[in-house]
Amino acid sequence: MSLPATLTELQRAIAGGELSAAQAWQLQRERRASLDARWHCLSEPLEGQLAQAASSGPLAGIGLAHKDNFDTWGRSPGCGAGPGRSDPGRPAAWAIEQLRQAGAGHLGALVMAEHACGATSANAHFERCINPLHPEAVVGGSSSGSAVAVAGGLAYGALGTDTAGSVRIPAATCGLVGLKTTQGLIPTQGLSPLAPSLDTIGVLARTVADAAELLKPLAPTLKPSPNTAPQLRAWIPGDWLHAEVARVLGELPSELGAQPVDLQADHQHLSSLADVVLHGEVAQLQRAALLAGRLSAPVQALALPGLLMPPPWLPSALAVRCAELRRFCQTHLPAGSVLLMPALPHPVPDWQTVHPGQSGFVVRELLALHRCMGFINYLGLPALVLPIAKDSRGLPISVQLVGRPFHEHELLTVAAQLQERRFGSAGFKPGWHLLATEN
Amino acid sequence: MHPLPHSKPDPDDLSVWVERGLALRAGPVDPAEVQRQLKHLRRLEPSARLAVATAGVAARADIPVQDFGACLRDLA
Repeated sequence: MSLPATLTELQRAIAGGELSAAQAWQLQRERRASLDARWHCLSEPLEGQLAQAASSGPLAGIGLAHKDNFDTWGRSPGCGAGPGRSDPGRPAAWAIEQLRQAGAGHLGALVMAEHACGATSANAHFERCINPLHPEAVVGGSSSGSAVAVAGGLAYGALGTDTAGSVRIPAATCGLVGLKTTQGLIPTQGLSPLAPSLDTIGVLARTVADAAELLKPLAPTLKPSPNTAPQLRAWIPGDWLHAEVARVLGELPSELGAQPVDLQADHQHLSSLADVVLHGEVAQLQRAALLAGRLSAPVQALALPGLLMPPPWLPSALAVRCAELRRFCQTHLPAGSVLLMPALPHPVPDWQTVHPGQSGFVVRELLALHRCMGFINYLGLPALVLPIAKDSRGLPISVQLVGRPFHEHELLTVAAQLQERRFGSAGFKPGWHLLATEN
Repeated sequence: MHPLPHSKPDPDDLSVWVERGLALRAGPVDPAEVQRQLKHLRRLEPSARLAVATAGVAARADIPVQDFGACLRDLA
C-alpha cells in the first residue's frame, strides 16, 4: 500500500475508503526514520497520544511536522540550538493545537536555523539538511527542516515562522508553496519570539490546494474572497535579477495581463525600516545574553546592530509603520489587487556558496536570499511563494504574490491559477513521495 | 583599543553609539568590529533618520504608537 503524493489526494483517498486514517498514519510513522536518515530534517520525533493523527476531522490521518520553535504538549522547543526540553504540563502552541483538533498528527519537531536567525539551514548543532531536489542545492532558512520534510516526503505539510522571509526562502529553494500570513492572523501564543512585531506563522506545502487545506483550521474566521479575478500588478526589477530569473519573471506581465509597477525606491526605504525593527527587537529580547557574550555568531549578527544603533530608531520605525502601510497599499496595492514580484533574485545557489565559513562562500549570494522578503514583514502583509519554472539545473524559479491584509484567499486563487498553467494541479514535482527512492 | 567615551552620545555620530555599545560587552573593544558595525548601521541610516523625523513626537515613549493590528484590519 502506498501513500498519495499530496495532502488533498490523501484526504480524498481516506474519504473514498481506499485506506483508513489509521492506516495512513501508520504508513507515515513507519517511513519517518528512514526519510530523516536521508534528509536530516528532524530535530526530534514526537510520540504520545496527543501527537497521533485522529480518525476524524478534515485532516484525519494526515502527518505534519513543524519547526522547532513551537511549544508542544509537555515540551519546550529547542529553537535550533539543540534538543527540546521536557516541560510537563506545558500546552501546545495555539497553531499546533488547532491542527491537532482538525485531526492532523504531529510527526516531529524540525530543525531550523539557530533561534530562527539565518536564511539558510546552516546550523552547527545539527547535520546539514539535504535539499531533496538536488543534494548540492541550499536549503533556505530559517524554517529549513519544514521545507525538507515536506519536499522529501516525510510530512504532508509543515508550520514555519517568517520574520524576514523564513517561510518563503526555504519554500522557494525546495520547490514548495510557502504562505506567510497577515501579521496577527494566526495567534503566536506558544511560539518562541524572534522579533515580535515582525513574527508571523506560515505554512509550507507541496501544492496550493494543500496550503489552502492547512490554512483552514489556522484561520477559521477568514472568509474566502468573492474576488476570483484580482487585478494583477507586477514588479520585475530586471536590473538586479539574474538573467535566468529575469527571463522567467519578465514573461509574467504580458502572460497574465499584469500592470507593471516600480517599487524600487519604496523597497529600499521599507527594507531599511524592516532591518531597524528586526535588529532592534532581537537586541531587546537578547540583550542580557548579548552583553554576557553568550550568543552564538548567527544570533549575535542580528542582535548586535540593534544594541548599537541610536535608541530612537526602533520606536520611530514602529511609529511610522501604519502610515507606511497605508501609503504602500494606496500606491501599489489598491483594493482588489495582487502584486507579483520576485521571491529569490538569483537561481537557487549551492549550499557552499551561502553557508558562512565554506571556501566558496559569497556574501552577496547570501544577502540576495533576503532581498525581496523583509519589507513585506514590516508591512504585515500576506505573501505566498510558488515555483513557476525550472532553471537550467532543474531547480525551481519562484514568484512571490503579495496581497492586501487578510486577503490570503486571493493569493491562493491566483497561485492556483498560476500553478495550473505551469505544472498542473499536482504542483512542481508530481509524485513527491517517490523522492526517497528515485535519487 | 579605543577609549570608552564618557559623554552623552551624539545622536548624529553613529561611531559613538557603536563604541559605547560594544564597550558594554565584556572584553576589549575591537576597532575592526567597530568598523564592521558602523558600515552596517550606515546602510540603515537614511531610512531610520527619515523615520525619526517623520514620527516626530510619536516616537516618545509616553505617546502610544498607533495600533498596527487595527491598521491592518482597516485595510482588509
